[in-house]
Amino acid sequence: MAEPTSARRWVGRVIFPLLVAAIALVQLLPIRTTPTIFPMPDVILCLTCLWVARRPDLVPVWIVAGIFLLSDIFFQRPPGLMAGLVVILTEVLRRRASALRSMSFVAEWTIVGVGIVALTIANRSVLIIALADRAPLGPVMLQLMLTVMIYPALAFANMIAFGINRPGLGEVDAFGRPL
Amino acid sequence: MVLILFAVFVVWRIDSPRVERFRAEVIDRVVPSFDWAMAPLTGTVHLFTEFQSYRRLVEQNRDLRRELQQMKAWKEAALQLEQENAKLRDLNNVRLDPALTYITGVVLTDSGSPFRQSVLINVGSRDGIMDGWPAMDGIGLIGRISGLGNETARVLLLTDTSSRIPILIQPSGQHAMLTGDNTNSPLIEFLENPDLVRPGDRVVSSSDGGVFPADLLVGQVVLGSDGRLRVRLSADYERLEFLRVLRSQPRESILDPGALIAPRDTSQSTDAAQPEEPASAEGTNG
Repeated sequence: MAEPTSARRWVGRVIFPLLVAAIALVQLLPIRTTPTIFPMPDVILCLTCLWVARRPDLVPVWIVAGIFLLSDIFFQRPPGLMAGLVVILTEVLRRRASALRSMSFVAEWTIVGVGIVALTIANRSVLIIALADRAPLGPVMLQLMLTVMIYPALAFANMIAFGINRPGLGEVDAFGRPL
Repeated sequence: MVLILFAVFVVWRIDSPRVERFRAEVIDRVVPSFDWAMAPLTGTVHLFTEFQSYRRLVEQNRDLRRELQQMKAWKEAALQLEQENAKLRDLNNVRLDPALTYITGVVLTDSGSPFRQSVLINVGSRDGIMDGWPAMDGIGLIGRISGLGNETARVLLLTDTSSRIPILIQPSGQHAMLTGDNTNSPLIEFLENPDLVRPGDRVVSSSDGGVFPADLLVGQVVLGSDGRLRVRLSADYERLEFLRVLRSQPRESILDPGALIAPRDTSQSTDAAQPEEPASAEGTNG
């Protein structure tokens, strides 16, 4: 009984980075090289929040840190800043994961949304304090809105594809600990 | 862990060039190894977007024929002008810069972020590329090399918010800066006399500050919807596939004033340096 569940956890831990790598690869494809006024939502950030809020055991903190440090490097962002902020956000979510489970979906969505907004504000403030280059405000706001908006769609897709649902109240893992 | 990540950020802020070099190196390691997956994917996506245009194939073909007819007339005119130009250059003893040769690279990835406009190409310091060299497609200027790996190089596009290049606006000869602002048409700034510039004027790069070779076609002046002068770029940014990186040699600079005014010894002759000066002065003026 213990074997399959533990194995499933490791499969989950492998699936997440692979999923993120696939998304990053698609984003890096040189399909649109002209600037757009309509930026794509930050799918990787939204996905990470979703997995952490629903199945914190599958996304340990070192995976989050590694993924975002690498994506900082690849997407030409200041390295480390976004990664650090995302780690803080996911740790906050992780601590509330059991509370989130008993709330309605709208409440979960709101909390994650507020978290993402706070992350964007913090990111921008640090960049202003550090006198670093900042992206223009308008598209950033638009991207922020889109990122929060796609959360339900991502939640649905992940539930269908990978079974990332919210664990029931009495569910326990292989060692009998509550999920 | 958060502290480590923020420490990375602080290090980047303090010693940006070193960290950027590290970034270029990481990308240089990883991206070429994903080429097998990226090339077919990009090809497939392009196939689908092009498939939509097949439906309009007949009318497109007709349009193209008509355009070709016009182009033939232009080609004839261009040939005649070229011959005339060559004759006049010969008469005036003009020397053109023979050092502009190029290396062609294939675009591997774009920046992956909606706020950064850059592409990664598959030639790097191994092929002799250096930071700051200009990149063109067949027609116009695309950007310049900013960030160099062994097998890859990043081209900062003219549309990026941190791109600034010196330009010359053609019939009036006005100097200005071209400033990217994350839109399709970059902004013209620091123009001395905007009254002399009209929409439709040709914009070419200038060698002010010794950053760029002069006379690379950039685009045409247009009046933006916000009432500011912008440049419609000649290069086809929709389909960046092959880029030419121009080898640009640093320009020889004239440091000493020569011995024209100062009294000189009759025994020392500085005449050997004299014939060089008019030629290079002409080169800088374009």
